[in-house]
Amino acid sequence: MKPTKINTFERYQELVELYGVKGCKSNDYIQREAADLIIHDVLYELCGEKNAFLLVKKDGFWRVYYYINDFEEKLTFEGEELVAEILFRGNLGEPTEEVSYLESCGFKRNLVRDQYFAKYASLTTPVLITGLTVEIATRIEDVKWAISLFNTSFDKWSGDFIPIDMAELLLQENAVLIAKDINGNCLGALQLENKMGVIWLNHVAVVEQARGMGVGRGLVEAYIEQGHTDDNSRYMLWVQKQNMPAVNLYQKKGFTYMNKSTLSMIKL
Amino acid sequence: MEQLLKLLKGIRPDVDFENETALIDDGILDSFDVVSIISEIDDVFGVQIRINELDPENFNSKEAIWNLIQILKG
Repeated sequence: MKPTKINTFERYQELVELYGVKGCKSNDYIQREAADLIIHDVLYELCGEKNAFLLVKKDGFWRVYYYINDFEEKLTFEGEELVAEILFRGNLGEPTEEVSYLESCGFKRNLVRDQYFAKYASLTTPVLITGLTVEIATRIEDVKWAISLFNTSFDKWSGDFIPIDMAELLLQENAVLIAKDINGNCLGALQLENKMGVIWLNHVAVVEQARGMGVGRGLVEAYIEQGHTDDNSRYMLWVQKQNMPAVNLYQKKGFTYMNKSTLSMIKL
Repeated sequence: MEQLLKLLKGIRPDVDFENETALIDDGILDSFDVVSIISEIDDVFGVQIRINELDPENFNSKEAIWNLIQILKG
């Protein structure tokens, strides 16, 4: 089977109507964003009789959005890397039927991430980390260093990859914080983004030799202050469930789990 | 309306649905929340919401969502 390009929003709507019948399993959160994806020629379809994959072409892989109505009908697409993110409510547990179906199509479990949220008023008092300076990156070289650190610290399939040509934009938007020691050595970086009034922590990473020294905490403290306008300032982030030092840091700081998680499944 | 409020609280207990009037515009609800709400509305009220009804203004407050349900119920 080979995917075919979706050329009109009407075709996307038609697919949703056709496969998104009551009771179907789906992770299609594209919705109105489909129009943008179609304009950029990156939205494709792979349809069976009962099931359909919507595929978004990324840099070196495809992101998969599925409609599953028949667990026996397998959809296959060989020769390309595929990634499916399954969002689920934590209190309801992982969506085992969808996981099993994707496994039967050749996918394997990758990562579980949890979403955390905080308002400024609920956060603990900032702690100063001795010997650490955290500042907004003002040089393109520092931003590029941060991007390189992020891209080597996270896998590319879960939305973490930052193209190097984003460096200029991140610099202009004051979106990167850099942690340095007293000698000016870069120890870690954090990328933040203001999305409709919510300050997102998109990436944070610390060089291997500086881990466990409070660098991550220093970056998170600076991120919070950078986004602070009043007690209602809102902060959001995703963290790998297995990354216990990070999870503990956010929880102790006052972030709370949003009952929202995502399991990424990959087919290489 | 009480039934809708209970439904919304079940999905996002942290959100003040009684007072918020910019749930989408302020980024309080994301697309996963909206899809979850649509699915629950279908289950509870028997109303199917289509893509062309996904305008942010239809989801910015519990009143707006309630109005959409009433319109679709006809």
